Amino acid sequence: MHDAEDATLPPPVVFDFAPVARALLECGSRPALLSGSKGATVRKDIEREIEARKPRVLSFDVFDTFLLRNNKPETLRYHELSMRIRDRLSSTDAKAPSDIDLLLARLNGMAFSYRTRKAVEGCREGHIEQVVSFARAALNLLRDAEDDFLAAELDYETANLVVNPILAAIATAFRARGGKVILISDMYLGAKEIDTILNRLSNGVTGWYDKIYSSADHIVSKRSGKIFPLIEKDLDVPAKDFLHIGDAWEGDVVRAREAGWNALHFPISERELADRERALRVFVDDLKSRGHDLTQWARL
Amino acid sequence: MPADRDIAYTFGRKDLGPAIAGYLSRLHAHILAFEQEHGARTLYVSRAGIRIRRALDTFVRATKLRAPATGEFFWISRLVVARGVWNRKPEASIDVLSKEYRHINLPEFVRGMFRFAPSGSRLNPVDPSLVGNGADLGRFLESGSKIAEVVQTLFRHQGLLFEGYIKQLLGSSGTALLVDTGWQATAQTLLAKAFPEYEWWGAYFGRSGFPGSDRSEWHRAFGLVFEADGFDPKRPETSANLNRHLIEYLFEPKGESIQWLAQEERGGQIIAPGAPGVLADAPTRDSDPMFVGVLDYLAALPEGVSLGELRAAETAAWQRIMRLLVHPTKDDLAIFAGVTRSADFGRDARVPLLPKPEPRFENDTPDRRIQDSLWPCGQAAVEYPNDIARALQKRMAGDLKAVATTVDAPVQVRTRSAVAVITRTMDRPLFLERALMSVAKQTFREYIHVVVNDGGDNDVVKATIEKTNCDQARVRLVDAVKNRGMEAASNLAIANADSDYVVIHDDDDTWEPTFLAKTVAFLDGKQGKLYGGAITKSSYVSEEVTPKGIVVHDRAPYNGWVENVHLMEMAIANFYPPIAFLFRREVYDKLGGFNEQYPVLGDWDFNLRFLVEADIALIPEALANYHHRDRGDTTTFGNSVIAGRSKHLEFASIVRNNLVRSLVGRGHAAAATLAGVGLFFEDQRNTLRAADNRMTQLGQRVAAATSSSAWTDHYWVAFQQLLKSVVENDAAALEKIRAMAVKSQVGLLARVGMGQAGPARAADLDRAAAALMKDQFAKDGASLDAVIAPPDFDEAYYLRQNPDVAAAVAGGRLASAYDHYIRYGRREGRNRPVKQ
Repeated sequence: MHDAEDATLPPPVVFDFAPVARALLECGSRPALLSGSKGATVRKDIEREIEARKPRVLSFDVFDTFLLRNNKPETLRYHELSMRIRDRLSSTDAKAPSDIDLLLARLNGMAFSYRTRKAVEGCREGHIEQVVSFARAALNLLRDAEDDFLAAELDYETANLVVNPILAAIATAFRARGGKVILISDMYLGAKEIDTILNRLSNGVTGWYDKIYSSADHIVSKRSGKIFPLIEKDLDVPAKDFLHIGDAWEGDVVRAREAGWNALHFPISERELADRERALRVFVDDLKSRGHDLTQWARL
Repeated sequence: MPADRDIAYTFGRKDLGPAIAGYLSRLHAHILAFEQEHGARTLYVSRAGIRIRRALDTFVRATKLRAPATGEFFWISRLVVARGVWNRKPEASIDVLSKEYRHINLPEFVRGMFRFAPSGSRLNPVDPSLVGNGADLGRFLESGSKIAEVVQTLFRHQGLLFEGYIKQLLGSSGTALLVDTGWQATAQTLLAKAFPEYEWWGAYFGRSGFPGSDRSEWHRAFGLVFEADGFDPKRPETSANLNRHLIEYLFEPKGESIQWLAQEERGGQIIAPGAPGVLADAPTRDSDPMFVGVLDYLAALPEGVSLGELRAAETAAWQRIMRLLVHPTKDDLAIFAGVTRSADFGRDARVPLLPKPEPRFENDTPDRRIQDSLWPCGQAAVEYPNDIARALQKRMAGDLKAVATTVDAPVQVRTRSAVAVITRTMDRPLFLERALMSVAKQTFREYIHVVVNDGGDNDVVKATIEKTNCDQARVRLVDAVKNRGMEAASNLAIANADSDYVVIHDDDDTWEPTFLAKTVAFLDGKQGKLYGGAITKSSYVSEEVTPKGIVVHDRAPYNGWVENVHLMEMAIANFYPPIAFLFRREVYDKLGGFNEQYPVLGDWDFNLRFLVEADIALIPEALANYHHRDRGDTTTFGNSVIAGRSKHLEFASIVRNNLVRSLVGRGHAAAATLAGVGLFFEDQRNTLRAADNRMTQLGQRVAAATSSSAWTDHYWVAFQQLLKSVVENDAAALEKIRAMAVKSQVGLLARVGMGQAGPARAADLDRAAAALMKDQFAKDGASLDAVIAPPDFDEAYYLRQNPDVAAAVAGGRLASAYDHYIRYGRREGRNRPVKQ
């Protein structure tokens, strides 16, 4: 049904947009892309964007942006963390709870903390300290165990994250030019815990950022859009002078732009997402075969 | 011990026991966390709270867990709370009571409020203000009548006691955790509204509601076993929604529902006089085998049993319970032998969980009993042999099944984008921006959005894409440079993006956010393999472009009759818009794309040829919006359908003729015949539709002409109310009736002194006529709060035709068949039988 090419018609011209996001979406692995030759192109594209927008504050999302995760889904990470806590507790307590006990207690604790912490401007967020407190009590453990839980949490995150080399370099250069760099996270870990993880990953010599904002501390979040004016007020910088970079389309891009910030999408590649989804299904099916149905808790 | 009790005990111990243990482990953890994190006091809500606490104590003792630090019984019922909030939130109180009494007349409501009074006082209210049912409660309470004042005095007094009771339990402020079975958190919601100085949380077995449920406090209401309105087979614990009475019965102690609060003369403590009766609950294997079975299971749990072990046992138990609740057999019913449920809110009745398979009234049927049952799947097993019951149970469980919230398609490993969304545009940035956002808001994100600029100003299109808050990384702009026509533009765009699926999203149309998620999941899934594409239902959106932007005026189903996609139907005319149709690229390739010869109707041609090659599924949700500028200036911004009608007529014949010729040429003689005769069917259908419209109009005229019986009923009721008012000398009611009478000349009313102007005073009425009517009332044995049937109304026939009404009249909930007809039946469209 196509017409034979009409010789009188000029050839069509194709335009693509957002080169950074497109390169990331289409790649097989972000760590591989960013450490290879294409990483240099991505860096140049971001720097071009910074040059065009001229922000006073450069802002990064933390997990899956400034810090890159491996392709394990959230529920699987919680299970691996539970195994780490079990090993830690077992060294001093022969009757330590099993990894499944710890996982169930944590999942219930997450839901409890998210739902019961006081809402701010209609937003809700959990906090690791409350999660750990709930899980410890549910497992009938002594209060000291909470320290083990927290320590294992930080150990696990440190072992499973890598610093994004491109963004770290951009942050360092931006600060060297007198700009301010902040990190914003929608997460149950507070700024204190995130700072600890970053320090460990950089062996204490970061110099990457000036301040961290976490929804665990402020309750308001990027996904609600309400953390952006809070930061503007805190730093006394107008919205138009921020450039935020993050992986979450809604929270890091749409809501940031709605708040008047400049925003750049730094997405997880489609192949990585598919890998996480497959790993999640394998994990959930495996637990189900062992009598534990965690379907309701399955998260990417 | 009878065999039934052994069966119930075994069910409690083997099946319910592990399920309850899982629930209690989470309840225990939540109570500790609320105490520790929120300084909350735990209140076990009577009556279920009494048994829940007994079970929790047994669980904690056996497992050697740390016992909660707080815990008191909260002696309330929903009635106590509804009355208790009267002084602070009367509207909330009326709202709850109105819903509970919506099918019950006001005299029965008043009797209910005083039933079980400690003083033993009983009311038999007779008052003109008591006309109507629960829906009229607000009007009644504000009527100022004597009986309304008596009820309000009761509410005020119980409200004061209730306030004192809360302070007695919690002090002047603080946090309370209510422990109860669930389901809608009604009491918690009322408490939160009326007593905001306290923070109210709920820890329930389950949380579920109905479309009209007040969910404003649900974020503070934990359903520890499930939070779902319906039944989802993937979550067996939600099967409790098919028979919540199982859980309510399990935790229902002996003793009456708490209906009253009182103040002790000595010491002034506020107490619930009914509490000792409930506390005396002493379940035994003989009296409560199911609950005792559960307690025995809990008591036998080993010290230090792990969460994992509890969870695994709970998961397995719910599989068995689900089987029982969805597909009970006759043998299973022994577990529930003799189980009855008590009514609360001042009502005095016990209802069997499973009524006997016997007619309750004339013309009663097994289906009617199943529909009325507290547990329809169980009643099906009572009424029918197991094999027949099983089919019914499956259907009923399916009807109650919650809408799945997650897409359960297999993970797709794709080597290209899932979907190419194609948007053709030319110099319409206003519409293009809306289309870009329509795609950007899709919950499904594996797409590439190809915008083809078909000869318009490319800088404008580029700037629109750059400034719109859409996902630019997924947008590709193809500048055709010169106008090529709609179908050529589509082919050009599709050629510039690889994908598994394709959909045409015109620049002036929009989607609901789940369009791509649902259509892709369907075609990716097992069932979708049968189809080459899928459409969703669509909405026709009527809009206008104004200087202030696009204004939407109306929206309605577009060809709402579509239930499937027949080639025959398509041969008659196109019946869905391009925006509703996602198709596989492989079929598109096989067809050679859109026919670029057609300036209009290219989509119809494509759909016809598509259906010759493959089937198209229908997803019965309206997820596509087909926009039309059919108001205001339809030339400047009109879409091709509105602005180019003559071209559509011209090309309708060309498309059909071409298709016939092409099909014949390719050896598809049958399809060619079908496409040809489609014209005939189109003509026939248009003729039939015109006739149908004429019939509808005629019917409306006939209905208008025969609506005199409605007016007769209207004045008949008014007349009776008038006479009652005369008897009671109620000036306010007379005034209302006067307002009704001026609408029409009615001799009936005039006879008792109600002309157009109405009576100036009650004294102007024809008292002789009123006295006559009163005598007639007495002869008929009617009470003043019921409406007597007019002479032409066939009471017996109405009852025969409406078994539900017959049941309600037999049960005393309605005074007569006419009482039902006048209050509900006429609005529900039930027939008004006339005596022959």
